[in-house]
Amino acid sequence: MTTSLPRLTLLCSTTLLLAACPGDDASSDGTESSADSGTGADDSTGGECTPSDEQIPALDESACAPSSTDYTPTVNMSADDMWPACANDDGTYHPFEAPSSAARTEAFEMIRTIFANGLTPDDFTAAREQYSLEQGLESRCVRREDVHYPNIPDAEQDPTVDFDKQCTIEALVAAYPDRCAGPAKIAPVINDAFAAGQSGEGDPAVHAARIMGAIEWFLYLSVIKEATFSCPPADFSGDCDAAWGYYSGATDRGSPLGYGADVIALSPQTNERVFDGLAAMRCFRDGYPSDMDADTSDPLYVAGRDQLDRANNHAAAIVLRDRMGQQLPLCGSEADANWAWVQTFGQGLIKPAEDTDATQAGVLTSLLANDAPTPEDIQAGVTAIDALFPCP
Amino acid sequence: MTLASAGTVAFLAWAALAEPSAEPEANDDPTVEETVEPNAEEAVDEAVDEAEPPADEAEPTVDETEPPAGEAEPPVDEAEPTVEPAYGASPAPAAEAREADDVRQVVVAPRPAPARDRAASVVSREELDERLPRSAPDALRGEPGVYIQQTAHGQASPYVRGLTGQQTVMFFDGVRLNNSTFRQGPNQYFFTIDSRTVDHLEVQRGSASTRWGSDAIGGALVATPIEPRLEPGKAIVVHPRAIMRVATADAEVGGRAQTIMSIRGKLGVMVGAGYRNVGQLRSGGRVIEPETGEPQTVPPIFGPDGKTQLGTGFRELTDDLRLVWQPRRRHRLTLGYYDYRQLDAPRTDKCPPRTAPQDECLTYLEQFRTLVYGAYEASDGPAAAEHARTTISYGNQHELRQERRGSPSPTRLDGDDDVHTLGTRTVVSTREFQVAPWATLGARYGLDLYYDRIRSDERFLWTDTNVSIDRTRGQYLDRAQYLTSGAWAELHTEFVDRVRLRAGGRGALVVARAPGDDTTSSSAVDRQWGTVVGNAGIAGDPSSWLTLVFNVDQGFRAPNLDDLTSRQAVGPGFQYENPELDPERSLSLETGVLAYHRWFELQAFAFRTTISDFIQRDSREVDQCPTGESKCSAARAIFQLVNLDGRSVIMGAEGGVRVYLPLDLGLRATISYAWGEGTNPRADQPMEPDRVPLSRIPPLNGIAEAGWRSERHGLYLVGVVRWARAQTRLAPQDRKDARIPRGGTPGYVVGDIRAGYRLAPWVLVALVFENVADTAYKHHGSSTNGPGRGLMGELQFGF
Repeated sequence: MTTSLPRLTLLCSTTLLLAACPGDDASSDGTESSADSGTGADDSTGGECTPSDEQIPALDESACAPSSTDYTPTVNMSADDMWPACANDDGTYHPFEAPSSAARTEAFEMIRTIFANGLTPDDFTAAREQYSLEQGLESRCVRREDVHYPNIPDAEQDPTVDFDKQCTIEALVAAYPDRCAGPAKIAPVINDAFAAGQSGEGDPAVHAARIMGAIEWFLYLSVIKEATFSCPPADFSGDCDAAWGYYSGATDRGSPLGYGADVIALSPQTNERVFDGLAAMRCFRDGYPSDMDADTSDPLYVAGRDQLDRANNHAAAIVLRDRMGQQLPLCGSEADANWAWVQTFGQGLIKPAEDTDATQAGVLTSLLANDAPTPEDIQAGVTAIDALFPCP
Repeated sequence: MTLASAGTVAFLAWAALAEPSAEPEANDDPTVEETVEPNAEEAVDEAVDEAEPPADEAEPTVDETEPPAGEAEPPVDEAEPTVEPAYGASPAPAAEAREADDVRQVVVAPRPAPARDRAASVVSREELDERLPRSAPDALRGEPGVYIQQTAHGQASPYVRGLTGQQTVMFFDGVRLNNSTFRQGPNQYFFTIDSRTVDHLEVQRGSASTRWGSDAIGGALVATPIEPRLEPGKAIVVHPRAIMRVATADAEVGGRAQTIMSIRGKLGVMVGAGYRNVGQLRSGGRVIEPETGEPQTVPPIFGPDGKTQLGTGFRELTDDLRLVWQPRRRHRLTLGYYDYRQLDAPRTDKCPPRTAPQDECLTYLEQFRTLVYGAYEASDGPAAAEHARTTISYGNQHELRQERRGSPSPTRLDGDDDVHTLGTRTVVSTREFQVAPWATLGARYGLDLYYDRIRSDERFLWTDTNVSIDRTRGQYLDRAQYLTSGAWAELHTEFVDRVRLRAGGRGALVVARAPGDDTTSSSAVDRQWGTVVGNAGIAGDPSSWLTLVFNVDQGFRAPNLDDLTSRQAVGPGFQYENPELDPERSLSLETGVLAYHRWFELQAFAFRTTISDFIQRDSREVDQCPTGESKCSAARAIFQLVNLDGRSVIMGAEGGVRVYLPLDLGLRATISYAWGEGTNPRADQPMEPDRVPLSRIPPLNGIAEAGWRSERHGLYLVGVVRWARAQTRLAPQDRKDARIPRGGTPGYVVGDIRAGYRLAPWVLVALVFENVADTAYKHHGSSTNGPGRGLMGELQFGF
């Protein structure tokens, strides 16, 4: 695995508050060198904590291969797969129009930069401004659905509100908090953390970690949500590209921002597969006239969505397992912050995990609920993740 | 004047009025016939003059309104007594005399005369009292060529010949209301004229920048306030009046108290204050989208009953003071203060935005307009300036907006904008020169200057921590300045009492200055434009009651500070500034017929307006957003104003007819049609047509009325049908506008019944049973649906 210098710098800066940055490419040898990824210094909690020198297993995707229904533009320009010719066959993402979701990814990066440079109440206010911008992260967090959970029953939907905006109704948010993850779970975590950070209460590193973990959870959910809901309708067919914006900030395949930057830093292969999934959904949409609703029973829709969902879940999983690995050598505030991030972001994977293997999902869920995990707990969690989400 | 002599005058006047009017006068003007015979007026004038020099305090008040374009300015002392004003307001002299006689009279007022030689219409105080409009724009519904759009229940914008907002110009008592922050598309500012203080409203259709200056592309909206009555010969006379009003569709409860005083016949004072509390507007339900056949979703958001629109309602407080002093014959000083305060008015299409939590809302916490002015008017000048009126004004437009994010967000975004405007305007009329036995010649000329200074800021506030942060710029660039000015002249001549010609021109200078803001990549603005426009017209009278008209008028609109500096959420998305815009110019051709017969009135016009450099929204990509402007890059749809290449065209026809039948019966109908098309700013894109419809052009629409209005009994009963066809010709931006149902706005037919009783000047009871069939309907481009079935009532009493 290789990581470009700019990307590494980005990653370092954004995780500065959680764990000190490795002095060199932590992943250059293909291992998750958690023990090497921090300084091991613990100035905040005294002698209570003993850093572990354990490491989590290296990420192994060597056995992974695309599914037979996957869109593979980087393999012989898609000539060998089931997908018809498409503008994206050249390996580049060709949007209908530049997605506004990219600005939210940029705001996420801005918040990351702000927190990397300081954690004073003023920094939290500056970060919150980025979060609160018009049509920004907050505006979407407060209505984001987790499409892994069942849709709200038709009988309970408000017919006066678009079917994909039902989580804008407070009563439905209360009744279906899992489906309405944005307003029910993500936004409250962010609001509470910002409020605490602005007020100077508690550990600012923990607050910042919760904010970052929750926003990245939002970005992860948004990728599959937009692909699911925004690609088929004709009204705003350009919104199909929103998934691309949430994943990478609407950048090229090799230089994603935001959530995508975290993914590519750990596994370029996974990044490729997510990108292929995004490109697949765009190809599906391009198969229809722009003023015509696309058919959601179209096999390409089913295949493209499954491809993207699988890759996206795996991408989130490797980001999560990396943070779990980072926990082992940490103590004190750094440990608290890192684990706060894990506990926050990890919630997004509970449902996909349950849908895959209830037993392994139980291990993961228990770990996320554990405020003081042992190295063994963490190792068990990583094992569960690897079993649940083995390939992109 | 002693009481005895006043009584004599009054008696003479009443006697003159009491002449049977069964025989129509030679002029065949039923409006005159209904009210005051010209001969009677003359008799009164003579009687007053004879009874008390300097008795012309009792003469008709000098017409404060702009005489309609193209109309020869009558000498002041020959000016028609235009309106039977609101009670206590300045009446025609005959009416004064009649009231002085203290005999119960049912007064039926003449409607103010619209322009004789061009397309125009007038809504009189009496019509306002009958229609019970919810606002000044609402009062214009059904007028030919006018269509009212509502972005909120507390906001409405008149379209005149397919144009609105910054492309129409508004005046109040000769003071320009347009300022440099008027935005593209509909705006709420005509709503800030309290219709209860208005004597009459006039709509002049078509480009008219020679007379009215910048922005008069679609037409001019001219409001004339109620004038306090001067009562010569009496020391102090007080006319108090109370007005109470209720409406069921929006639970409106309000009223106004006003007092008019005449002090020694030389000083008139009118002081008034009003208040309204307007609740959520109940409609007839959801409209059906033409494209899907399904009910439109949002906006607006409806309550559990499926009819009550949640993002509606507001409160309103008004107060005003008007002093009129006539220091000597044919001189008049007017001081006016008009204050309008609207509170807590949600913008319906943002309450919530289409995809936001249901409790998200953009509310205009404060929408204030304060106007203070003084006007001096003299009518005894030399021949070259026989009549002159100069106005000096100060206006403040204040907006405090609050965007409250939906649950569970604690975020608020507050925007605070103030526009301070200093202005002056002078209008001069020459004497009518008899240049030949068969020809007269006169002129009007003037100059005007208005200077704006802007204060604009914006801040975030988080209610959970009570921490706020100021943003680097507001909706406008703070401390921006704008000046619009011009000088103009019009000549008019009349031949053989049958043919009238007019021609004129204006030279205009507009200057815009604004500081830049590096943080948000906001360019500084330092622009100025000079321009010349003109007009010409011919009118001929084949008979005494019929006039044929052909007019050519130019209009222009220099880009204002909204165009050049503003960044804001607009109906279909986010719009950012374009500091490189050039002025738009229009040429309006119209031809029509005007008839004022004893049995009917008719006006019918066809028009064609071409606009070059038309300023419209063009879609933009994210990567074209100004650097550092995250509001832009995060928006779902992004727009920038551009000058369209080529020419945009709006053409159409409009007309109105009133028929006076025996037994006090009458009919009225109006119809309006406009069709607009312009260059497609994205014509260079694949599959894009060269030309596209202009945005929010109103559909074919009109009204029909049949009524009985008894002068004798003071009663009236009127049935009204309002209708519009569907508007499915949509501009590309209309298709992204959540306010417009998918596929366009469906047509409608809505019926109202009006009834009332008037015992002048003591009592007026007016009722409107609106939307009798409880029809679900929406005016094209509006966020709100029209009111459902309901009753409106107004009770006035005073003396």
